[in-house]
Amino acid sequence: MSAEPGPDHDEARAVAALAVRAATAYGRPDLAAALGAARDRLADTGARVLVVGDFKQGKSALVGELVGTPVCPVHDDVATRLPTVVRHGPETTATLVGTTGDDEVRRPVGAADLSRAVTGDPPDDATTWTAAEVTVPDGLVADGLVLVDTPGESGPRSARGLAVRAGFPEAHAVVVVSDASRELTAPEIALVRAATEQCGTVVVALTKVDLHPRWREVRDLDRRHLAAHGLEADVLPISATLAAHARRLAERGEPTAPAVADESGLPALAALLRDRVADPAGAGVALGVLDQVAGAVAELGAALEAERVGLEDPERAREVAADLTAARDRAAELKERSARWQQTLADGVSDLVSDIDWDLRDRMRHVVRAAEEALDAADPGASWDTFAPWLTEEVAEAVATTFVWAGERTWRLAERVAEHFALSGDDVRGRLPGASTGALVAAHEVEPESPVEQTMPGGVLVRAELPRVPDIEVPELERIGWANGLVVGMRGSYGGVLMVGMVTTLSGLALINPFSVGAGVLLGSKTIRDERKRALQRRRAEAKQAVRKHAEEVLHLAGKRSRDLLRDVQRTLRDHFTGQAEILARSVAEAVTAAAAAQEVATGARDRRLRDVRAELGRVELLAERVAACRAGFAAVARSSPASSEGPVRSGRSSDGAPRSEPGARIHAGTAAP
Amino acid sequence: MSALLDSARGVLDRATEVFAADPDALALLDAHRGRLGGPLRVALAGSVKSGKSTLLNALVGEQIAPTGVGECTRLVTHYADAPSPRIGVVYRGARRPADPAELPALHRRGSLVLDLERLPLDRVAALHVDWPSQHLRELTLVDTPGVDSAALEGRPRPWVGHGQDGAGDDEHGGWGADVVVHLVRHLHEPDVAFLEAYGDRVAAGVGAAGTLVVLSRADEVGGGRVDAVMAAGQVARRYRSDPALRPWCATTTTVAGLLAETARTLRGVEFTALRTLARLERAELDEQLLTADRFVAAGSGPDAAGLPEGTRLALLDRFGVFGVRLATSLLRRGVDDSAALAAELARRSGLDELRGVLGERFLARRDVFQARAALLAVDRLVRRARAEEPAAPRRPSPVPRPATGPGAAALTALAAELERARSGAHEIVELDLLTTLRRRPLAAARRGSGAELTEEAERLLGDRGPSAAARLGLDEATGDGELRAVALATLARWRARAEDPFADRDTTETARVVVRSVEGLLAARPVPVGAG
Repeated sequence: MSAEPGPDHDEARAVAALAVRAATAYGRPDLAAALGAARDRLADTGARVLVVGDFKQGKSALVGELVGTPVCPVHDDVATRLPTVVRHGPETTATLVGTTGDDEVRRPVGAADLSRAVTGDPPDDATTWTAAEVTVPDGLVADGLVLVDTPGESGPRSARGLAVRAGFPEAHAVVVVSDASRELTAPEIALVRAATEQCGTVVVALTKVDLHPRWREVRDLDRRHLAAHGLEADVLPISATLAAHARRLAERGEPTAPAVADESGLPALAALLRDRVADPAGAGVALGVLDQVAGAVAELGAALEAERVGLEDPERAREVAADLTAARDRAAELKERSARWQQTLADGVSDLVSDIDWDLRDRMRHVVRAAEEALDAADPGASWDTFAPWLTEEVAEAVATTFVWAGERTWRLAERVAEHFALSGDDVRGRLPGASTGALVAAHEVEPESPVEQTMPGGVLVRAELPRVPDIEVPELERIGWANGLVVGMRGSYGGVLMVGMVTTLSGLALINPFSVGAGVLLGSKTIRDERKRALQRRRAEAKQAVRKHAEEVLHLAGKRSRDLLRDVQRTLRDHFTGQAEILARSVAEAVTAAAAAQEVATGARDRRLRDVRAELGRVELLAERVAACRAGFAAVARSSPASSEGPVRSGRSSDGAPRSEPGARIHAGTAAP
Repeated sequence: MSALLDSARGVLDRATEVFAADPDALALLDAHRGRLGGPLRVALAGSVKSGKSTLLNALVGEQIAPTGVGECTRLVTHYADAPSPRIGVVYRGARRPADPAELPALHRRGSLVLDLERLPLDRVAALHVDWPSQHLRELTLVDTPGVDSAALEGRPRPWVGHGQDGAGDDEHGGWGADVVVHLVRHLHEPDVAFLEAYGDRVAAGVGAAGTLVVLSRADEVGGGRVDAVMAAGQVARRYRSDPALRPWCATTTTVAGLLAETARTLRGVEFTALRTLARLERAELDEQLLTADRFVAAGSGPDAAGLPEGTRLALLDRFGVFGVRLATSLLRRGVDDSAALAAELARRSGLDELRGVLGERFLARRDVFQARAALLAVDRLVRRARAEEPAAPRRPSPVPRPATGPGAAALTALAAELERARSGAHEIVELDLLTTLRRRPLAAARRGSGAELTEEAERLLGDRGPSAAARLGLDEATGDGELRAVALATLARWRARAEDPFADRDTTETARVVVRSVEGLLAARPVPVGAG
C-alpha cells in the first residue's frame, strides 16, 4: 500500500516537527508541547470509516487487510462482539476501553487477550468493556483514517443494529460488507439505505469472492437491487484471503505480490476511501494545524525582532517597549474571566443547556403523543409486543437527534469562542514587533468532523456518549381470560337469576326457573362485555402510564448526559484557551525581556549579537514561508474537495443550522437559530 | 401406535360432522385424514440462500429443486412421492380442486425445470411436485422461500395467512408441516432472533420438539479449509447446549449442503475430472485453488490438465472450492472409485448424521407428529368457530334460536372429545411436555443440577428416540433383565420426585409424566420368568 496521499502531508509533518524543534531551541517548552500536540493531530483526521454488515461476512478480515496487519481477531465461528477502533499510532498497541461503575477504564492488553475480549470472552471482572482500541503504525490509518470494525448487525430492531446505526451520523464513510455467497437481503438493503441517508460515502464490499466462482452474477444482482431501491453505492469485490496471500508473498519478496494484491480488490477499496474520505478530511485538519504552527512561529520571531530593533536603533526601541507593555497588559486581560471569549463561552453554554433541554423535551412530547394515539387505536394487551420495540426505537432516535444537534451547536459555539479569542489575540500580536497578520486560530471554515466525537477548532477532542436508553417496563396488562370471565359472568348472572327469580317466585315458580336462568345468562354476558370494555380502558391507562414513566426516565438520563457533555465542553474549551493565553502572554513577556536586554548589551558585543539575531530571524522567516506555502497547498485541496467528494448530505449542513437527521416535518425553528 | 392414529381419525370424523356446512373446514379435515399414516411432512425453512433447496436435493438424491446463484425458491413447493412426475399449482384462497392447474414437468440435465414465468406469483399459494423417488416415500419435503428475501419486499409473505404457522395448511398460507428443519448459516444472536421472530410462527403448531436447527453451508466456515465441516461440527456441538437456542429446537446439527447434494448425485465425468486434478502437483493445484477465479482461469493456461474453463466452472458450481479441495485430497489419499468417493463425501458433509437425527427423532415418531398436527387443526377450527360466534349481531332473546354455523353444543362436545383424545394419548402429552421443557427447563432440585435433571427427563420422554433402550440411555443391545432393572430404579427415583413436597410445580408435573412413560415402557416388556 502506498503510504502517503501526496507530498503535502509529509511537508506538513516536517514543518510541524521543525517548529517543535525551534520552540525547544528558543527555550519555549510550553509552545513546543502545544505544537507537539498539534503535530500528532496531523495523523488523526478524525475521519471514521464504519465497517458494518451481517454476522460472519468477513468484516474483521477486511479491516485487518486494510491496515495491513491482522489486528482484528478473525474466528471460524465466534463473531466480533466489541467494536474495534483502529487508528494511527507510533507502534502497534491494543487497549480495552470499558467502564467500572461511572469511571472510564483503559487497559492495555496483548494480542491474545484482545482476541478473547473482542470475540466474546472478556476478562472476568467488574468492568463492562465497551470497545477495543488498536493503534497501528502504517497502512490506511497512517493517512488519518479511523477504521471501526463493528459487531454483526442484525436488523434495525435489534439492540446491536441500533448501536451500529447510531454510529452512522458520526462516520465519514460506511463500508457495508456482504459476502458473495448470496445477493443482498432485505435487511442488508435497509442497512445500505440507513447509511446513505446519514453518511456521504457508502460502499458495498462483496467479500469472499475467492470462494464463490459466480460472484460476478451476485455483484450484478446486488447492483440491480441497489438501483431498484434508488440507492447509490459502489459494489467492490474483495478477497481478504488473497490479500493475506499477497502480503505473505511481499514479505518473501516475490515479484508477483503487487499483481496478487490488485487481484484481491483491497487496494481499490483503500484508494476509494483515501480519495473520498481521508484526503478532504486530512486537508481540513492540516489547515488548522498549520495555522497554529504559523502563529507559533510568528510568536517565536517576536522576541528576536524586539531584540533586533533594540540593538539596531535604541530610539525606536523605546517606542517598541511602550507597545510591548501595552501588549502585555492585553495578554494578561485575555486570561481574565472578564475577557470577551470567556463571556461568549459562559453565555453560550447556558443558552445551550436550556435549548437542548427544551429540544429534548419537545421531541419526547411528540413521541409520547404519537404513542398515546397508537395505544388509543389498538388494544395494548395484544399489540404490546410490537409497540414496545417501536417506542424504544422512536425514543432512541429522538435522543440521538437531539445529541447530534447538540454536538453541532457546541461546535459552532466553540468556533465563535475561538473567533473572539483570535480577535483579541491578534490585537495582542498586532502590537508585537515584526508580526504579520497570523491569527492564533484562524476562523477558516472547517466542517465539523463529527457531531458526537469532534475535534474543536483548537484541536481539543470532545467526546460525547449517547445515553443508553433503558427498555420500557412491561405494564401489568389485565386480560380477561376464560376463568376470569367466568367469575365476572357469574357475578352478573347471579344478580339476574336473583332479580328475575324473586319476581317470578311471586307467581309461584321456583327461584331457579327458565325465566330467571335466561335473565341470568343475559345479564351475565352483558357484565362480561362491560367488564371487557373496562379492562381494555384500564389496560390503555396502564400502558400510557408506562409510556410516560419511560419518557420521564429517558429525559432524566439524557438530560444529565447532555448537561455533563456541555460542562465538559465548557471546561475543555476554557482550559484550552487559557493555556493559549498563557503561551501568548509568555511570548510577549519574552519579547519585553529581549528588548530590555538589547539596550544593556555592550557596544563591542552589539554587532556580534546583531548578526546572530539577524541570522536567527532569517531562519524563522524561512520556516514561516515554508508553513505558508504548505498551507496554501492544503487550502487549495480543502476548497475544491468538500463539495465534490462529501456528497449531497454533507455539503449543505454547515450553514443552515438545522439538525441533519430531523425526523419528519417537525422543525425546531425556535431552537435551531444559534 | 395405530391406536393413536385411530383416535385422531375419530376426532376428525366427529369434526367432519360438526363442520358439515363449511367446505373450507371439510377440505382441511379431509387433507389431514389423508395424511395420517402417510409420509412425514418436513418443511425446510430459513433465510435466503441458506441452502434449503440444496439440502432437499441432497435428501432426495436427485436435483429436483432448482438451485443457483440468485434466489431460486420463490414459492412454497411440496415434493411428494408419486408414480409419475407432475407439477400442480394451488392458488391462494382457492380450495384445492380435484385437479389443480398443472405446469409441464420438464427435465433439463437431470434436474426438474419449474417454469414460473407465466404464473401470477402473488396469487399462487403453493406448488405441489409429484416425483417418483424412494427417498420421498417416508418424507414429504416442503421447500420454502427465504424469509428475508429482498425480492419479496412488499409482497404477501408466504407464511402470513389464515394459518399463520407451519402446521397451518397450504391453502391458507401455511406449510402443512409436521416437523420443521430450520436452516441457518451461523448460530449467532441474529439467527436466534430469527428463530424467535419467524420460527415461533413457523413452528407454532410444531413446537420445539418438532424443530431441528441445521447449521447449513458448513463448508464455508473458516474460508473453506479442508477441515471446515469438522470445525462446523464442533460449532454445532457447542451450540447444542446453548440456552439461547434451547427454546427453539430439539437439537442442532451440521451439514455442508452443496457437498451433500453433489455426493448423492456424483457423475462419472466429474469423477474423471477430479482424478485428473488430483494427479497435478500438489503446490500447483493449491495455487490454482487459491481463488475460484484462478481455478477457472487455469483452464485456459498451459497447465489446464485437459480441463477447459467451462468444465472447471461446472465443477465449482457442483462442489464449491471447498468440495474440490476435499475431493482431490481424498483421491490423493487413496480413495479410488466413484462410489467410495461419493460415500466419503456424503459422510463428511454431515448428511448421514442429519438423516440419522431425522430418523431417530422424527421418523420414529411419525404417528405422534401426524396425530398431533391433525388434532391441532381441529383445535384451530373449533377456536375459529367460537371466535366468530359473537361476531354475528344477535338481539337478546330468551328463546334459543336455531344456530346458523355449527351449534355451540356440538362445538363443546367436539372440544371435549378433542381434549380427551389429546390427554389420552400419552405420546402427545410427552411431545408437548418436551416442547415445554425446551422453553422452561426444570429448576435445580435439592441435589444435582437442573440441567442434568432436565436432560434425563427429556431422554425418558423419548427425545433421543422412542425405544426403551434410547429412553433409558442404554445400548440397543442391552438385555431385558438389565433394561428392567434400570427402568425400575429410574421409576423409583422419578416417583420420589413426583411426590417430593419441596419440588416446584413444574418438576412435579414433569415427574408425573415421566413416571407414566417409564411405567409404559415397563408394561410393554414381558416380566422375565422368576422375577418379581
